[in-house]
Amino acid sequence: MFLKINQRKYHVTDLVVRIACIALVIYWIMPWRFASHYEYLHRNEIQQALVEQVTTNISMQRMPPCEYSDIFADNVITYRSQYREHVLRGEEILPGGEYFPEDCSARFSTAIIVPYRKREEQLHAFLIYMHNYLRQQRIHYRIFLVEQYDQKPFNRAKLFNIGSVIAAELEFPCLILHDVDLLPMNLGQLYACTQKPRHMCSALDIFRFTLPYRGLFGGVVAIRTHQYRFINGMSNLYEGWGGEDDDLFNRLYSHKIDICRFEPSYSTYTMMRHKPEKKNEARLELLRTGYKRFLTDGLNSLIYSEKERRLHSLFTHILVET
Amino acid sequence: MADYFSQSQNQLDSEKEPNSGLCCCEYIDHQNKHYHILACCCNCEDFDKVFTDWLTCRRIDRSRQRNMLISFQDRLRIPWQGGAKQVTFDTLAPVFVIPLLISIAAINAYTCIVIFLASSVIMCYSYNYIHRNAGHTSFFSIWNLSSLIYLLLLFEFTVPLLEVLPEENLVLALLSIISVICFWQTRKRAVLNRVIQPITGGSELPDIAETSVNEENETEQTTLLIEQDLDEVQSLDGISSNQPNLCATCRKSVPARTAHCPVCRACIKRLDHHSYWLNCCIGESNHRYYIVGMIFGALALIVGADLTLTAVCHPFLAANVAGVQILLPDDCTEIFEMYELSVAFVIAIYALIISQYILVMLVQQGYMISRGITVQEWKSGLRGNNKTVKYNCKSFVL
Repeated sequence: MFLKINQRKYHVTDLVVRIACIALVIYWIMPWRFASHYEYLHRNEIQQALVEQVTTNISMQRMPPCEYSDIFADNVITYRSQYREHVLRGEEILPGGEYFPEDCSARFSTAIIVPYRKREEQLHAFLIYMHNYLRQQRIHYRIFLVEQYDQKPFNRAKLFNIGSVIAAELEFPCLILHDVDLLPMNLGQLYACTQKPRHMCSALDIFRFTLPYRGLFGGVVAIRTHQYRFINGMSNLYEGWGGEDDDLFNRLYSHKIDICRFEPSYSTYTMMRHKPEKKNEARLELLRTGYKRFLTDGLNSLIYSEKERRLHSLFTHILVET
Repeated sequence: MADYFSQSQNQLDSEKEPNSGLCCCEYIDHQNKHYHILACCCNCEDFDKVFTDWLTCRRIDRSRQRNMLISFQDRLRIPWQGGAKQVTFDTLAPVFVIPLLISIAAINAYTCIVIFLASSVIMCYSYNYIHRNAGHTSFFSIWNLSSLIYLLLLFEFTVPLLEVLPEENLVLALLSIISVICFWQTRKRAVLNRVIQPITGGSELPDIAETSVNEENETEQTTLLIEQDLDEVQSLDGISSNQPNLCATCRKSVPARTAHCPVCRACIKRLDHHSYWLNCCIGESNHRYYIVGMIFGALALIVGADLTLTAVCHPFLAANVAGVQILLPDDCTEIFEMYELSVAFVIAIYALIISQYILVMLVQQGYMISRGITVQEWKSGLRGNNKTVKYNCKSFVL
């Protein structure tokens, strides 16, 4: 069988094979199957995007305000063994894992909320590194460790809600929702809030320093306290691994709040190795119907009992029953 | 070209004639009869007889049994453009063996090491065996082709592609496509290497006239170069230019630097070697394609292996060359805990091993080219012409 195209004869099988090859090659290089590029704040734009807001006790300080421009200009790699082994100058850190610079008054106050259960080794590494890292940024911060006391599946989103309520009681204007297994590698990722909620770990090492999809909004997230309250926090229904971060993204989207990211070289994070959590099988169904519960499920439906609150030398420990 | 094909003395290749007017399901069987694939279960006298003997518990005739097996093998064919192709054990084996080996190697670290060591040893041994005996097999070329297909398929389905940037994939695709096209051309142009005996010509024709027959389509430049080459070798060997070269096997006069390939059963102009991996001879008209294909193939394999390993293992930033981040894997210790990722790991290691093999071949080829000789000439005891390396490289490239 032959086909005549442009006065040239082609064999049908030949044509089919050629068209199939071309289609395969096109499919092969289609960009939508791969990691995505994303819009980000350039290093010069970062400082204007940040919101300068502190708690009352810091605003009472009568000292010159701290200078941050060198942190953004240098963007040094801090993920070094010297910062991972011991807490350097531990006497600077106040009980409850709080710190503010002594020689100048910090311009940013941040509550770092870390949901936690049974990850002693990672917590150890996290606290040592984060205190060494964050003090170099000359900000006022406090680490809240929210531990789930009961035996139900791990409910990360609910622990964030609880942490945000406690941080709001203490007047923190900025929340950073932080996983215990993620460590920032570059100093330029300032632990402060931008006007828009910010996805901080957009260049994660286990993802080859790329962003798998633009809607990824988990891991480490910076969000202003009033914005978090405005979107009614996160959902309390996601038990087990996965889904809650996508739900947070959907909530922001439905409230017309855009997100932002810093430059990839400022957003490099490393993930500490751990066994994968049991995945939440119902997460896709919850996600699909999540928009119906944005107003009813969240901070206003949060029920929990606080078992214990203790100020450790490196963190504030909050033990809760969900 | 048709002349050449009708002249071909290779009986095995006669079924591959593209102009024989066969439809894709027809073929010429071992008794030179037209046959159709659909008739594979009909009319086999030997089988009837053997089966009847077996049922009636009579003694089975040895020769009939052999004939029956031959017909079985002959009738096992797949439809192909220009006549159905025969499927033999050695062509079919790689298609099943490679996925089997990969799936076993991905179970844990020990099976991985054992499979890789064992299969490399077996492959080396069988390659050497076939090479020594100049056996005729398409096992290695099918192995090559199916490796390529399985590597691509498994890369698509096991590597977490969401961690790979589209640009990186584009680079990998371009390198692989260039490499595949070059190897395709190498195979396609392999027939141009063969020395064609003019129909009316006697064996006394001088060599220059013989080359000109099939050199018509080539550019003038190449022809000049060939003549130059001829001069070189002849001055090297001390043969006077009007004495024709003779092929001992074919008993005919051939151009200088021509060697007989026992596998292809033909005289190949400037034979480098017979490549079992491509199932064709590397000679004058496809040597450059072969080298380019190897360079791009090695690059594609290394890029693909690095993409795979950094995606499934823990990567680190090794270098930043002009804004392009180069990642390398640094920790693959828990790779065998998830089967899918360990399959990706295994294909990456396989790709690395192949790329190393290609690199060794490239080093060998580079040395030979710089000395201005072919592998075949090296085997026959020649250790290089008396030209400079620069001149030799230039004359190879141009």
